[in-house]
Amino acid sequence: MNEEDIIIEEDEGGLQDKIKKLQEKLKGCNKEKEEYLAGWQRAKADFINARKEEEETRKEFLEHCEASLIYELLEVADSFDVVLKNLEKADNLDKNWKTGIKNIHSQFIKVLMGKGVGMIDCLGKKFDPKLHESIGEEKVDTEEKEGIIINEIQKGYKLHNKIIRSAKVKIGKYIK
Amino acid sequence: MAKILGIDLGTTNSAMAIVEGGEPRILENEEGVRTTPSVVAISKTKERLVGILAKRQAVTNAKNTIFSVKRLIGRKFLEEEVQKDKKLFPYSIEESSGGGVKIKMNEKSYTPEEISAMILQKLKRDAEAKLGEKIEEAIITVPAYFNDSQRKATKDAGEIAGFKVKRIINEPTAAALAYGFNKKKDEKIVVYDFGGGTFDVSVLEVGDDVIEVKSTDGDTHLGGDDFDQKIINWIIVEFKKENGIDVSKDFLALQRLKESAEKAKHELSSTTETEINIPFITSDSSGPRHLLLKMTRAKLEELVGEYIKRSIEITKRAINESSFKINEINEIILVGGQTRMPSMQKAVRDLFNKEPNKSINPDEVVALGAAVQAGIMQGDVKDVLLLDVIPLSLGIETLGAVSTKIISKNTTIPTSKSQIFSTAADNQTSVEIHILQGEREMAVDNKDLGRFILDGIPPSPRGMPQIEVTFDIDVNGILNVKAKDKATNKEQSIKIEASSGLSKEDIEKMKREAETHAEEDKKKKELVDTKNAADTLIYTAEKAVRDAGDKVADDIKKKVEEKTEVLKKMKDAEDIKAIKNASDDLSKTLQSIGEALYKQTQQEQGDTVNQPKDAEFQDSSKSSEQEKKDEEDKDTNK
Repeated sequence: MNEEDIIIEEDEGGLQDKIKKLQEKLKGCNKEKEEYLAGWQRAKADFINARKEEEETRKEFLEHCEASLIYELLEVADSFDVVLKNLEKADNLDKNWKTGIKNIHSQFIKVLMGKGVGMIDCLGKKFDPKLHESIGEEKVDTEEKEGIIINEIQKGYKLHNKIIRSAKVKIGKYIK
Repeated sequence: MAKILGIDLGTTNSAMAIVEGGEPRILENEEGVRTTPSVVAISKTKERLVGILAKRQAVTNAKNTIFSVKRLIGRKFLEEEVQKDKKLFPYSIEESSGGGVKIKMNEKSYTPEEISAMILQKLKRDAEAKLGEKIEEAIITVPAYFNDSQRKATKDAGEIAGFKVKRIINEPTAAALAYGFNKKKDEKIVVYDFGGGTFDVSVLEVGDDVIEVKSTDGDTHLGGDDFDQKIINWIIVEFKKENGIDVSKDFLALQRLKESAEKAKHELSSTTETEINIPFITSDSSGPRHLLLKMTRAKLEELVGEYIKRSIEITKRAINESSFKINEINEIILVGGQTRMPSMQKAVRDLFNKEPNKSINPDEVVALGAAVQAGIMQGDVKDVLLLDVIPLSLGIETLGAVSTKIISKNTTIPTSKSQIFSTAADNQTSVEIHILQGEREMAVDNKDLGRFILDGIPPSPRGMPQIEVTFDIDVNGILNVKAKDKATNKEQSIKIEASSGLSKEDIEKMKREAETHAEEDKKKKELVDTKNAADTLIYTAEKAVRDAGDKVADDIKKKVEEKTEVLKKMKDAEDIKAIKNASDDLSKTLQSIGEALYKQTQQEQGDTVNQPKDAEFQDSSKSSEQEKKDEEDKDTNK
């Protein structure tokens, strides 16, 4: 009788042990499930986000390609600027040739404008490092002209409101 | 998990990077640029400017524009270095009460830490804007020769900027981390860092879990900017020789010259000769003058040769001090934009008799390495989420014994992909799916993974049936291939266990073979493609003649038939050009049938053209090989 009791007790104990173990296992499984589900959701979200970012990057890349090409072309624009400045002084040049050169310049500028390129306003404006780069100062006679751009050395350009080259300018310095 | 920002706080430029998906990535600043000038200023309108904006107003606000603050951080005022720089800097430096350095900016005194913090603050703000989340922690790099005081001051700068500085690491160590050289024990590494304004060289050794700096040397006033200046001076002298005009006093001329010099320097990294062309650079009484100069790479090397030589001497000195021998060095890493110059790379290569590492952008490698360190500290991704990739492409054999890839190599698994194929002959009722693994263009050159037949396809003209082939690979690499006839929904499938036990060596061998045979495979594939196209054209032509019936004059039909016969004969030869010519010929003649039909019945539409299809299988009852011609992606068929 005693023996039997002991066995039953052992059985019950064993059963409870088993239940406890299973409960723990279930708990572990649940925890693992939560973790995996979270990981899965996160991976899915990462993928969707990566795709969105990819689209954005591609757009930026295209814009960048365009900007770098335009940046190279600005060199040509600079040469034109100097030519135009000197054109009127060139007395030995035929009038029709002068007009031709001017027209090619406007044609060139028109192509740039068509691509969203704009010139940065300088003369008479207040110096702003977001748009301009100062490369020197010039004396001015009134205090109001202090810090105002009084000479544009090299034109600045923007592409769809993004600065692709700052304007190189000289600013006024007032000395009493 | 919050991200840790890796920062390369440089003397002239700074950069930042984060780890995303296990890979380091450079973050652009607010202006959309990958590096930020390490310049701070208080403008004349009392605005604080950092980066490119500060640089743009430096010339006219020199006293209040602080650059190269890294040369001062953590130093005592009386140190020789500080005294030397004091003479060079346009801004004023004073001794602080503790014997340190104070920098004056707009009547106010700042410590170098505070100035550095302004740069770091901008980086933090820009990174947060870019990522859309707060960044609290950072890893900042410093030169290997920085002492405790300089390191502490750099750390303080980070804290002032609002970072919790997780660690200060050496720049050369970061570069080594970016290349993943921390994994091999006892590896000896030389980091050759030629920046804009400073030259540093360090000798490292990888020990247990740490990278130890064995020796370090350098020249704090030697850099790429010296190169630019040399080129500018050379151009000015050359121009003066030719024209007798000194352009160095002309602001615009000098500006255009600077840009051209920099461009020439970059171009001479990839070409051996470049043209410096500045039309209308200046003018005198005789009219406009143009600058047009040829500059060779040899000339550039002659101009800057002494600088390169000096850097090599310093490198030798550093190695001597490390007690290693030159031939013991396992890896050399190039850092700094100037190292893109071929003759500099050659000088380094000649010294070590070894190819230096330069695959990572030398302007970004330090910041990337700082981010790698951040990734290590953040801990790795959980094992369960580490996903494998398939090492070789998987596909099926199609018309002309070509291997058509369904899932290309290096695709992350688990994944699933399907594509629609069709029959190659009229009334073809079964197709064989032959599964292949490998990169080669022809089926026989790839590994045979298994095959099965899908039959019971209702008799129909070639190209009509739609057979969807689906490849599914689970996370363990087990491949399931299924073929389904869309008309009858009949399907067959096969299960192939883990890539059928290819060893790593086998995979490498197959990849190598694919590379070596790439050219010849391409030709073979082109021939098959041409043959397949000819085949389709013949089929179309024959059908057109049949369908035309009495509506088209016999002489036109006869012509088409003749040309068809010619192409049929050509098709079995191996001459691509001949097949193409015969195809073009037939194609042109064939158009006359269409023309004739349109003339006759304006309203009636000739249905001489097949419906579009993706591909074709050859009748498996006629040939054991199932074949196809890939025409369009399945999406276009939907």
